[in-house]
Amino acid sequence: MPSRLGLPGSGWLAFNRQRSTIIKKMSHWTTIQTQIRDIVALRAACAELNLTVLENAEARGYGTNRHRGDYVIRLNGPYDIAVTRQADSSFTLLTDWWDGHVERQVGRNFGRLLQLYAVHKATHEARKRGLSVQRKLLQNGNIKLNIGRI
Amino acid sequence: MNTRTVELTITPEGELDIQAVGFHGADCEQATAFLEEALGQVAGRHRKPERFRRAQSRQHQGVGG
Repeated sequence: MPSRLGLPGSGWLAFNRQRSTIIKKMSHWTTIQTQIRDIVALRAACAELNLTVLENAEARGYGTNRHRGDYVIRLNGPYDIAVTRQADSSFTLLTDWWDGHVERQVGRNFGRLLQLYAVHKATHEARKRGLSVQRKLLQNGNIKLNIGRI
Repeated sequence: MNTRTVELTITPEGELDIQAVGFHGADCEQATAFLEEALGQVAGRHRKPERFRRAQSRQHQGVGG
């Protein structure tokens, strides 16, 4: 067992707007930062990962540490993810990364969860506009959405 | 040719790449605007010289570890 560094609870790490991506658009490049703002899409992403979303609950952390979230993503390991609404109505994800328990279920830095969140959010927004969406899983793990007119 | 689609590629790290295919000029921006709006907050936008149009580039800002 790897030893845990620091004080109990020091492993809580927040995620919010930490990821930047350059978007290619003709001759324009747009930097956007992925934000979780839609709890319905987050629930859909969690459902796909077979994870339950609880409302106004406590996330389990190391030892007896608990963190209350507006929502909590209940994981199968010893720790959960607390989802907290911010003043700008985006959500912050908070968890304990120790020993890879969380990473195994939602990916490094919530990557897999964010991927599926984006898939569900984009699909929902496109369909709302009467656009067709085709989803394809590529060999490298990328998910590609082709969005077009019906 | 009248195939206008928006291709959205999302990596397992949660990074996004949006490309509008078959659009021209302002239509291109319009086609992807709703996705940008829905998925994130536009932090910066700048025009690249035409010669970089086909350049493949992606910026990674790994955080945490």
